[in-house]
Amino acid sequence: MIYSTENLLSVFTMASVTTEDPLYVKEYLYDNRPSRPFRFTSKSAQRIVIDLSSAKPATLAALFNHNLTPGATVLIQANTSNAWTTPAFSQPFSWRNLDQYALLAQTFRWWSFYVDDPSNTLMPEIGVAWLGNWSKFPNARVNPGRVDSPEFFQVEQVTSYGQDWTVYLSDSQVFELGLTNLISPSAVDDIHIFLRAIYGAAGRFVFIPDEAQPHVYFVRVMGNPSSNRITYSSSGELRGWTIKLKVLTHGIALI
Amino acid sequence: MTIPYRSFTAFDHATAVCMNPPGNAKGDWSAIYQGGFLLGFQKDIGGAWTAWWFGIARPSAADWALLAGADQAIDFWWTALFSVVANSEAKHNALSTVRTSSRSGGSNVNMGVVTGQQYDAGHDWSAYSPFNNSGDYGDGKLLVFGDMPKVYTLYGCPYRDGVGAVDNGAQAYYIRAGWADRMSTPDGGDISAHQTLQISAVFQECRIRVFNPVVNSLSRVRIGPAGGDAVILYGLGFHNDDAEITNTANNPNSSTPAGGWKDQVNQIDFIGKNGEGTYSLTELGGSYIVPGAIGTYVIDSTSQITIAAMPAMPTGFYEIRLSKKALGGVTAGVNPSAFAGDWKADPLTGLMSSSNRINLQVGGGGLRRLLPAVEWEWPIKKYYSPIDMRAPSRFYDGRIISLSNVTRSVSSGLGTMLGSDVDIQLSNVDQEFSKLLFQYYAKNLGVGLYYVWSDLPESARAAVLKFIVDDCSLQGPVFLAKLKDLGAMYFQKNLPDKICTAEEFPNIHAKAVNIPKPDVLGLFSWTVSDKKGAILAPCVDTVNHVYLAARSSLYAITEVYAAGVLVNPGDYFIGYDLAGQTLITFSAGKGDDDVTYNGKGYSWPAWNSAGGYVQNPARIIEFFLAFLVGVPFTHIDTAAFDTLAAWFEAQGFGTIGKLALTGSLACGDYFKQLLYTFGVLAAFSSQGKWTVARKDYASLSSFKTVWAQLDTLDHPLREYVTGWAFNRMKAAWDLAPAPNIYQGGQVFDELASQAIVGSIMEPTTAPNFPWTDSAAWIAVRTEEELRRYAYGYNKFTFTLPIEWLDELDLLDNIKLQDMFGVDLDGSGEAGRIIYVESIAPDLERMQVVVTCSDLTWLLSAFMILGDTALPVSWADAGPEERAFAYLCDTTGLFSDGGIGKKL
Repeated sequence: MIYSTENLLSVFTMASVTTEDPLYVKEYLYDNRPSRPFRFTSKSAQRIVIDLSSAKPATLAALFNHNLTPGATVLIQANTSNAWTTPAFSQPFSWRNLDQYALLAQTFRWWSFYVDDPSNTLMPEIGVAWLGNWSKFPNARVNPGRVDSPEFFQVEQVTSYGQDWTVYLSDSQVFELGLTNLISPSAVDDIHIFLRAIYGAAGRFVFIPDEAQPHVYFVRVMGNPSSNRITYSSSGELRGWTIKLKVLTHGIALI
Repeated sequence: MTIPYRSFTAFDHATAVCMNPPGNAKGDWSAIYQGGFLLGFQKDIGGAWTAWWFGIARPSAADWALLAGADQAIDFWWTALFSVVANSEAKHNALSTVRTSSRSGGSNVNMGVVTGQQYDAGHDWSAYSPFNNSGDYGDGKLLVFGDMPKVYTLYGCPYRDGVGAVDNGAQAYYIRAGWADRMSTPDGGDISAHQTLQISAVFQECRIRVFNPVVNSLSRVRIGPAGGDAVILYGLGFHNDDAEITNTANNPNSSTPAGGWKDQVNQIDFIGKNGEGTYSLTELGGSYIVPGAIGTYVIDSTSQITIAAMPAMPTGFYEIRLSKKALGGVTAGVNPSAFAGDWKADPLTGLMSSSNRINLQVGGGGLRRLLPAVEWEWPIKKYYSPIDMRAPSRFYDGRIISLSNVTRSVSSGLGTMLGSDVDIQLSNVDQEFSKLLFQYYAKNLGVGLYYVWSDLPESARAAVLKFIVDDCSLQGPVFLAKLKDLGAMYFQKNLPDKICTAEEFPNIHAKAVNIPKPDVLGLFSWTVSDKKGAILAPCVDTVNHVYLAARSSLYAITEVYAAGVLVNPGDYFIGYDLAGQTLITFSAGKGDDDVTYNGKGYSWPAWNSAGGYVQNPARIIEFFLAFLVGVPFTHIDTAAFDTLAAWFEAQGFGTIGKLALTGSLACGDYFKQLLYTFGVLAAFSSQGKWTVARKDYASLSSFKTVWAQLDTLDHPLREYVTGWAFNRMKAAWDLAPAPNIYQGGQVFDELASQAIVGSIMEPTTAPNFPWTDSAAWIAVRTEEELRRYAYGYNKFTFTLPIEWLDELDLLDNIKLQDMFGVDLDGSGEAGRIIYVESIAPDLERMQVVVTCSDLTWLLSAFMILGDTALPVSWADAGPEERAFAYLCDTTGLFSDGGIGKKL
């Protein structure tokens, strides 16, 4: 399990976009709200440019709640200058519906998400673009029996004679993360550092349950994790911690 | 048919005065602002001009503009009440003119400061004379001074042979400067020395008829991508009638251009919203050829276009643009066009109102879900929903935490609309509302509640109801608002809303201060007792002996009384001031005597009865809403009022209505009195319009069927509501407001009910019908009330899936199939007729709770023939069985005295 708590793309580093829908503006790329997307107004050779002011490392790039098609060319690129004809670094994303990520290990000042999706019937949208660095809990151990519960919100109605009137509303996903081996103070510190890092963003962070798998989630912590501490001994010695996570909604797209 | 038009009914008036005609220099004009619209001339004793008065009238609505989709005017219709202020030389008449000014520097005239020297503060007219130079092709109607006060509708000319489409060319000037002109030279030439001729006008309506086509709806909103599907467009203005455009009957100066107007829709474009391309169709047999056009269509009528086979188009959503590209007689390059749905037009009257653009969906499908959404009319509109929803032109912020049920209902007894309060909670986590409330007031803010089907474009969203914010509160991260229906916004005041004050009338009599200014519709007469005269006229000028008869212009005053004694007509005269108020001016003072009068109320040409003033009950209600309450026409279902007015007319009750607002009373109370008097049900429709209907046999022509077995989520509940029952009415009618006396009264009984239930029961509310003088109408009203309530009043309540939200609205007729219903042989009701009295969509549980009122009481007055076994006599039959055929005797009554049936 890896996570990323700080998006290097922010109001301070957002440099430019090639096109921008006035209703779905570039600020939505880093508003931690995937259901409110940024939208290009052109489909071909579109670009989001990030200026980190100085060369900085990045190890994770992710796009959440996008509407890109499998045939799209989507790249994470980097360079020493704001020039993108032959950037020093360029890596494609492996396409996944809605959310996708790429692991990398580069240090540059200029970064760019490149999108070319001419066969899309809609204008390309990206809910949240994430450029950051991933971490692991160095001491705490994540329980392998992680709870993963898709939730479907729907209304079920049945008439007196059995006629079905069931309607789907939306879906989400909930995780329950169990952390153990928290005997050592450094392991406890891991948790505190992690929680402090995410609370600035209202408990939101990027969560990759298994870096060998393509699944990536933009999640928030549900409730107050401190109340979920589990103590096993009468001395109050801390042994485990349970954190509930909810995947942020993708919202609804209307045409 | 009719032509689409926009209507404006509120105006700003001003007058520019030229002191040295013809006024070719700025200094020839007065720099003093003068309110009120005056036309006329004046010469001094030496024969020199001392004044030419130029009236200026422009609608005050913020949307008085050439808006997209309604930007190509055919002509302008100006309706105003003209009154003579001075006519010292007894001139007979003058020709009308309808002109405007092009000399306001491309800006709007500021009606609050305009003078002959400047169109706005600090802005001179671009040339002098500022007026009299554009749109100079009015209808040339004679304004006859002897007929005044009189309402004239004057018409701008759409076309004059050899000149061009005048108003279309000058339309922008009318928008900026309104009607701005002087009177034409009166009959017999200019006035003589030391003479004055001056008339005033109070404008009532300006209509702009437009060439632009209007699409109200499509026969289907989704087609297949392979093409071949038929689509029918419904609307107005697809191919207007030439004679109707030219309008020679009203405007003899107008003519049809050679070859005709050719104003048919020549091209329909389907424009992909996401780069799918544009697909164009041209009219079958049309002379206009579009390069690359790929299909065709037929204009069936000016209100319908049929596309027999749509072309193949890629999956996606398409906007629809209709264009007229071969218009005759109009400036080259003027190609009226409109996107479907941007405007809608009443198919009967042509009245336009803005709406949402319609999209055609190609391909797609699947299960549908309903998504609630609200639109808040902050200065910049905001859209909220329970989850973030992104659409091409709107983003719905997912802030709705909770939304209480919405109930709209009609009171069967009083006919009035009851809109439920709605509580809504929205997230304020990011201080969205903290910031908005810092900047703006939320009170009376408009809030529209909508729903969107997931398989339709967002632009096809449907309205549930329009609300206003009644109250709101902020509790940390939660913003709470209490909403009332928009109809209530206009009913938060007392009427009459204008009072007599010393500020307006410096010489007002002390006992007239703060007395409401009367508003009068219909015929009022009270000629008996020692307090004759139906309406009290407060004394507003003790020096000049002036009494205010009405806040606006009465059609006529027939008798005037002082202290109950008839006054000789030679001792007073009736006049109208610049605001159109009706004044009675006596030649001698009346001291402290009360002055009362009998008369005929306001006139509105389109709604007048045969007598020349408004009397039709439907029009009385419509006038009340539109002009006394102040509901904009865009919130009035004018077609429903037209239908209702025609019904009253056809039944011989077209002149029975009246209304006098004299004592300060809640707006809603007057409304209830009107609805009850005329037996009319009023509702605020889901489209945000006041609509009206009467439930009688003629209204039972169309039904939707609800099957308890398939549609209702629970068994329909039938309540008998016997607590409401009554079988005697002591009716009183025809109120004379000044003496506060009802002139008519009679007791009406339902004898059968009295015999069966064993007692006489009267309604808890006195059955007063103040606003009619027709005993015949009261017989109709009491009969239907007694039939309806003689044994209670059945109500039906059931719950339907949310899909029914598209199908039902208040006052709709329904046939309820219920196997547990009451019928003759116990097999269940095959279709009881009821109508929707209350509708409550639950947007969280996705269901609609519907309450209906029984309508079978209507059938108890008619014969239903069949072979079902019935009790042998009317007296033995139960209330359900009385829907079927029984014969009464030759008196027209059944043996128990019940009223016989009609064949």
